Amino acid sequence: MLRNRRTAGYAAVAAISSVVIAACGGSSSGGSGGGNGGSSTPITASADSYNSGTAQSGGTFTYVIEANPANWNLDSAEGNNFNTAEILNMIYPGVYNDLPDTTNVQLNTDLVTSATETSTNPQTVVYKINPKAVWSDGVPITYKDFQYAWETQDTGPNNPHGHCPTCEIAGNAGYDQIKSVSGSDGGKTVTVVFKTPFGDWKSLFGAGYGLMPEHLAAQHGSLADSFNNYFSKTVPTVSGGPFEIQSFKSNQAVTLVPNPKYYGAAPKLSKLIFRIITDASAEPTALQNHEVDAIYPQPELDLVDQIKALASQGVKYQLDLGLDWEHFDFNLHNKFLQSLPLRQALFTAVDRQAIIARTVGQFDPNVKVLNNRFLMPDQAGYQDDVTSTGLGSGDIAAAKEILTKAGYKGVGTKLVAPNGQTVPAFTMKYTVGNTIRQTECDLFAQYAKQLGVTVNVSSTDDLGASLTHADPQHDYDIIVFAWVGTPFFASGSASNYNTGGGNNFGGYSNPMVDKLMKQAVASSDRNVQVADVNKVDLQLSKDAYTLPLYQKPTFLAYYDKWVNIRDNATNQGPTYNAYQWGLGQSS
Amino acid sequence: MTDPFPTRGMKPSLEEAPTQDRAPIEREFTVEERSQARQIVRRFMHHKLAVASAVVLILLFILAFVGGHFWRYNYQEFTNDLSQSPSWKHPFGTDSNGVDTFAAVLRGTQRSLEIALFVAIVSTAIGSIYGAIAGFYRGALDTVMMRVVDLFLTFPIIAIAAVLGDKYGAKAQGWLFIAIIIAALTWPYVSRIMRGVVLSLREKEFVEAARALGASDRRIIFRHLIPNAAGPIIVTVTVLVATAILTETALSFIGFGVQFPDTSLGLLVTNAQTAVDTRPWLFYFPGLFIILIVLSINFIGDGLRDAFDPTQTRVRA
Amino acid sequence: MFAYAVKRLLLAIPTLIVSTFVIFLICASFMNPTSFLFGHGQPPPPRVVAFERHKYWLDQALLPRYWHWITGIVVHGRWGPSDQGFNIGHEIFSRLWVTSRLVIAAMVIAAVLAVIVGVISAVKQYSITDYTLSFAGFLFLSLPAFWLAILLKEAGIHLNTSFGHQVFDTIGEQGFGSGAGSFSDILSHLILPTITLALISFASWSRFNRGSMLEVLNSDYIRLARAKGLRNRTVMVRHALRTALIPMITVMALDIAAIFGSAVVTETVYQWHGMGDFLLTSIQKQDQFAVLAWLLVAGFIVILFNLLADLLYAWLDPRIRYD
Repeated sequence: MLRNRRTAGYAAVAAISSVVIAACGGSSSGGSGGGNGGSSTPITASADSYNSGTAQSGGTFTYVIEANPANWNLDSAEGNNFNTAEILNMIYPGVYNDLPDTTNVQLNTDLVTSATETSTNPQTVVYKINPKAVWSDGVPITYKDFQYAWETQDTGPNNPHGHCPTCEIAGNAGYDQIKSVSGSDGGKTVTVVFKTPFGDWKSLFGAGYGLMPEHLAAQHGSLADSFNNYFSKTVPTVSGGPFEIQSFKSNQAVTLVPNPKYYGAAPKLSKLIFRIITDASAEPTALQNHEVDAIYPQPELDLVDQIKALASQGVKYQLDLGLDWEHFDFNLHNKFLQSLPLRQALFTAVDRQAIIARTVGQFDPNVKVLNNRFLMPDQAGYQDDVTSTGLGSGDIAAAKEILTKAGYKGVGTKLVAPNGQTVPAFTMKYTVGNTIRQTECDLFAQYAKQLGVTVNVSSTDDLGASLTHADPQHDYDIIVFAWVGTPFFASGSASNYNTGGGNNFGGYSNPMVDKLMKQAVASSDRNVQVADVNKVDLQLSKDAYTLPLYQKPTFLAYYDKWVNIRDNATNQGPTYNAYQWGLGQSS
Repeated sequence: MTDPFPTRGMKPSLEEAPTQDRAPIEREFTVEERSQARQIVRRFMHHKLAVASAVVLILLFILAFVGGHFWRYNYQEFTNDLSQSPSWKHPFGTDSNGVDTFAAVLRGTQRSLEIALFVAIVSTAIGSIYGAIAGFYRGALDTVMMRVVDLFLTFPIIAIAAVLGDKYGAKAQGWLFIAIIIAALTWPYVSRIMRGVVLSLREKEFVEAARALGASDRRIIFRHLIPNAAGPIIVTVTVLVATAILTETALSFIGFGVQFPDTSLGLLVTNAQTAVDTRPWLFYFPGLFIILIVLSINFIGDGLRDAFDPTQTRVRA
Repeated sequence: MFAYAVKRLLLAIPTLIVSTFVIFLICASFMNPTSFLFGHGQPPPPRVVAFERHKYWLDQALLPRYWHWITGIVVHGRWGPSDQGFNIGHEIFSRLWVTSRLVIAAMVIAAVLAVIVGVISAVKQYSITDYTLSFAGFLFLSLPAFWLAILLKEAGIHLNTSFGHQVFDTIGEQGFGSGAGSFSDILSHLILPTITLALISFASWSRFNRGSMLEVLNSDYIRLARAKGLRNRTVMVRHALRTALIPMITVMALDIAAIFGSAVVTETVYQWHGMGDFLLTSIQKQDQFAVLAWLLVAGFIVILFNLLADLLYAWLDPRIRYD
């Protein structure tokens, strides 16, 4: 919470990528991630079955989240927070869940018996809801709950006049392409018809954004009233998932107990406590002191070392490369940065290898330079779209040459643009308290200095505010942050690069990119999507708008007496299967 | 925070009030003062810890302000030695960026001492004049002025500094801003002491004599009252300065102190709080420097108290 | 005595009133509760801005706004709007209760320590014991609160490991597992922060106690008491200590503001949700009325304790007469 607290980065990232997270897209991609560390046990199982075992019934598990769930509506702009999602995974059910392999999604067969694309023209998806599926107050889960999710989120670029223009939604990719959501079969069959093809339909009605009970919404006024007020401000009283909320003590803990009306397999734990610790530096000691059973902080050198030292006390960890990736962005609202050669030169001067060596590489030797903005190295279709352009190579001489050729003067001393104007000092921002990003910025400034460009590094305690700053002074010229990924790579990234896109903070615009992105999102053929996004990716490198640095490691640590808890580097987080967690069978 | 005001109840020593039965008063005054100063120095020298502390503090000053320029590393320089434990090359080790901790500690020490000096000078100047005026004129003016002092004392320094620092702390010259806030909230302590001393001095014969000779109020306050209150004021200020340094570290810790790219001892320790077990040099060295500075100042304060107010040290003499 | 108390009380009231105005002025000029509007996406529509400004009373001029605020608290018990989803008045008093636990426990321990150390130092003046204790006192006086807190936390965890038993907790003011909220649960969370706060507070008091003990011990009436042939123990406890405690108690009362400041830091290290967390979170969220409430409550406590210090001094020390 505080300016210097290390968690600031995490919460903000989750908030920023709201649209990315909520965004959708069809098929699954290749595999990545998987555990690559573990204090005493080397990873042999795949990421999806790591640490699996037979769990005993009973037991209290305390899991750490890093921000107070101030808003309980994940679909809302304000409530779309990773920490809240980790709790609501167990409360609001979704059709699909993101698996730890970060590639595949899994049908939630407790909630629906099937989800089938029955037609492609018009695209139609039919969901069969489990006849036994009920909310914890006994009201059946029906098509109305699907309808509510659609109606509240259907206002968007493809549908400016939706049901609820005043619903303050986080993102809506896909929902604004739906024509109708109808029910039959006593409400247990849901038919969704699309206006325009939407490849990533599996991201709808779930994948970290579960259904909320429509029958409660109906009691709380209009769509906007229930969405913006009721669900946002009320601790969920009714659950459709394996657990229900027993108590919430603001800023301290959320206590979950099994939902007695749950229609699937009952959870093993008798109590699941989410302990709110806003200062990551307190997490390893809390784990060491047995005050909590698992922590999921952003890894840092000391933190990882502290956990490694606990191996003898039965602490196990997973250090994985997930879908989040760190990158530098330029703000094209600054007229000096509208010059392509300057951008190219600056990014060419950046030595990404050296940046990794001084930051995440110190505790995770598996981190490599990332050369794609859509796909991770382990995913099928990943290709290097960066190296050929020379960006991120740290080749100062080449960078200087680009500037000299373009007519810049004072290269290496005090850079003057070809039109005679001196290039002013740029402002570079990072999330306060994030020492890794601080180093990244500091290094960027050192590289830029060798070209004769001054970069002033400062921190922001509100990344979202800094990124989207609407005033013409704009808050940043260069910024470092991370996108949180989902398996839906095409639709997930569209608004980052489309002209006027919601997450296109730097004001990038390229008609070719717009066209290709649109094509990719509409396609449900993965090969088409891959081909399109890679073309976009290459163009982004040529335009030197953004520079990917590396895949961010995620870090889960827990006591080895617990089974079935494992890292899940998607937006759902490790709690995606908390109903399976439990004490291992003692042998 | 340490107690910013432990000197309350300390009786201002009146013994150093000069005798003043001979004229011309000015000359007599100076002569008397010099011999008295010698006495104070002599008494101070008896307090061995205080003397040692004074030496340490002077050395720290030289090290921080001069040494930094001669040390082979700059506090912003990224060397290629990452996270090294202390060695001849890097006596205090390095952090994960390869920044030499010794260089960073020197810079932090410089910031701490700058804040200390600033607070010492500004709060002494404002507090003394304010307190002297209140005590000298007494009556309604005094009442009003002292209520203002009471008012200032109701503001917890950390809270006010955090409210203001949230907006300005991150700006350039952040340390100066923090020093200004601390000074603005600590001068009332000085003024209270000063007023108490002046109240007891103003009826003394030497003041009356000065007045009889036609000295202006301003002259009486600046030439007679304030210099004679030096003892208790200096002692109070040492305490305030120690408080100021600790306040800066506390502010850095809660995130409202000196900000990157500048550095301070508080910031260094804060950034190293997870490193206690893994890279202890990052946590202990800046911490030890804070303690060294504050401890020296506290001992010096103690020595000065003994020197100015020998009533408590009768046995030792 | 009674007249004096009334007079002091009457003097404290205007101080409190002016102080509320000054903190209001500070918060009004340095905090902007609507700043969040301007950070996200397009500039907010004027209607939204007007709505939010109205919500935080920014459509009123400064003086009426102050009046609205202060009368709201005094007359209606309303502390102003907050965007943190709680009633400020209700929240701050529950936070105050949490912090009070810490502050009171720490002050009691610190006072006991201060008296013991002060007396020993004074009686054995200039002995090795005195020097050692004095040095330790100065050392604690010079420790940054959070530095000590972090070290004590580490020490607590290592002790737990060597006991093989959970004696100290390091997170929050209570647990949530089994036995949550019980006395032992509260106590195990309380120990480490209390020791931290007590250690950094006791030193200046013990110095003070030592000084006043020395003064008393060197006074004529103690010499008289000894001359009468009273037992040393009686002299020390009945005469010397009693007199020497008076200034220390008043200093303790005056120190309350500093202790609250240290508590903010201590709470942060141990992740307590008391006044410190309330203040820091509210500042970060630019929650103007919450910060105002904090400053008001803190100011009130400081003024109250100042008053108490004066009255205690007057009451305990018969040598002082007031008219």
